[in-house]
Amino acid sequence: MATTTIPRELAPMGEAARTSSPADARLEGFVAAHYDRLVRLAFLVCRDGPDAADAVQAGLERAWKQRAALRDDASLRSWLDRIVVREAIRVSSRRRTLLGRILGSRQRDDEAPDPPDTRAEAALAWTDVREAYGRLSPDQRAVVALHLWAGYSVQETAELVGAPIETVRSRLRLARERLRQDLKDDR
Amino acid sequence: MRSDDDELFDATLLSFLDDEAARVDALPGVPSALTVTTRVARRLEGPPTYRQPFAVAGVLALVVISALWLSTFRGVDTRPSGLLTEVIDRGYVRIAIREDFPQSVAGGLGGFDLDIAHELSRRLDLRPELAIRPPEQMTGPEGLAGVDLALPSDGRTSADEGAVVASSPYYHWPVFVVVADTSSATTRSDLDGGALCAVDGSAGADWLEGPYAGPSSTPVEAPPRDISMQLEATDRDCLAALLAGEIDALVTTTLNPADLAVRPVRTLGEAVLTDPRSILAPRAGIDPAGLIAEVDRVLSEMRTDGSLVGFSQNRFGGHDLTVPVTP
Repeated sequence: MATTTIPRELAPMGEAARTSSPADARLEGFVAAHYDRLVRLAFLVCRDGPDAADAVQAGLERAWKQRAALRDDASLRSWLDRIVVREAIRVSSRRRTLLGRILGSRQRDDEAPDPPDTRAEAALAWTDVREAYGRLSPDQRAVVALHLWAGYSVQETAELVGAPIETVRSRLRLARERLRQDLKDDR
Repeated sequence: MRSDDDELFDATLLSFLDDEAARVDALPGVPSALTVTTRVARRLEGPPTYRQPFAVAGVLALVVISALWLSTFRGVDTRPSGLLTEVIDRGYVRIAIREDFPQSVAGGLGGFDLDIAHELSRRLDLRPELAIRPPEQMTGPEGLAGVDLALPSDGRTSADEGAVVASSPYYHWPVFVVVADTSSATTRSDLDGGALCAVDGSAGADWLEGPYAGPSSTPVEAPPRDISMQLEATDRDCLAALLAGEIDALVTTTLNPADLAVRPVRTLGEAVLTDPRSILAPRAGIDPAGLIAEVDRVLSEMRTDGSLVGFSQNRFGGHDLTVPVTP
C-alpha cells in the first residue's frame, strides 16, 4: 500500500482526531505538535498558566491561518516562538498595570500554593529562585527563556523579541546580576 | 570572558527553568491541547471565544461609555480602529509594487522596493502579500483598491493628498542630463536649441516640458531652451539614440550614477531634480494615518541601524540614495 509522509505538525493524533472531520484532525494535530512546549515557553515569560495558554492559542491561531507561507519546520518553530513570546510579554506587561490587575483579578500562580503532585518537593527547593525569577521584568524573562531554556543564540533571541542585539545582551546580563543579587540577599 | 562560576550559575538556572517550565503542566486553569484546538477552530469559524467573559464585557462597556462620553462632550472622532489595527488583526499587509524599475524580472522578480516591502513587513511582524501594479494605478482609490500600502517609486504620485497619505521619503532618485563623452557641451545651456530625449511619462519628461510641478529634494534646475524633445519608452532607447548621434542629450529615468559610470557618457552638472519617493496608503476606506506613522517609525529605525542604506547600496551600485546625492 502506498504511504504518504505527513508533516509532523499536520499529522492527526489521538482518538478524537479519528472521530472528527479531516480539517479538524489536521488542526488538532497541528496544536498537539506544538502546544506543550509553547505553553512552557510562554509560562516562563508570563508566570501565569491561563495567560500562557491564551498566548499560545493566539500564536497557533495565526500560524494555522498562515501555515501555507511557512517553508519548513525550523522556520515554523522560531516563528511560533516569536509570536507566543511577544504575546506573553504583552499579556504580562498588561497585568502589571492597575487596570490589568482589576480586570484580571484571578489569583496569580506565583501567589498560589505549590501544586500537589510529585514535583512538589523539587518545586519547594526552587522557591527562592522562583521568587527572584518572578521579580525580573517580562522582557528579561523572555530573553532568559529563549536564550537559556529554548537554546536560541543571542542573535536569534534578538530577532525573536524584536530588539537590538545589544539590548538583548544587556537584558541577559542584568537578569543574571539581579538573580545573583536577589539570591544572595535571600540567604 | 565567562568564568567557571558563571557557567555553573547558568547551569543551575537552566535546571530551574526546566523544572519551572514543567510546573505549568500541573497548574489549574491551563486547558488541554484538545480544548485549545476547539477554541481555535471556533475562532476560525465564527465569533471569538473568551476565557474571561465578564472582564471582556466590562472592557466593552467601558469602551462604549468612553466613546459616548467623548462624542457627547468632546466632539471627538470616535472611529474605533484604523488600517493599522486591521492589518495587525489580519496578520498580513497587502503591498503594491511596480514590476519595472527599481525591480527587475531577470532571474525572478527582485529589486529595491521588493527588499523594502519584505523588510517593512518583517519589522511590522506581518506577512507580506504583494501585488504588482503599474505606478500610474497607485494614485487613486480605484488603483489602490485591495492594497494597504503602495511603493510606486514615483514622487509625483504622492502629490494627491486627497487620495493618499505618504510616508517620509525612503529614497531620493536623482535625474541627470547626460551627454556622450565626445560631446562639446559643458553646461546645460550649451544644449539650448538641441535635441533631447526622455522617457515618456517620466519626471524627466515633465521637467523638459516645464515648468516642473512635481516634488524635488534638491533645487529644480532650469531646462535648456528651445529644444526638440524625443520621447522613448526606456532609458536604454534614449541611450541608443544618444550613442548613435541622433540626439544631443538625454534626461535619465532609471539610470543611476553607477550605471552612467560604466558607459561612454557623462552628466552635465548636478541632478536637475531629485525625486523623493515615499510609501503610500490610500485614504479611501479605513483611516491609514496610524499605519503610515508605523511605516515612518520602521523607516526611521532602518535609517538608524543602517539597513536602509545597505539595501540602497546593494541595489544601486554601491550608492546611498536614501539621502539626496550628486554625481
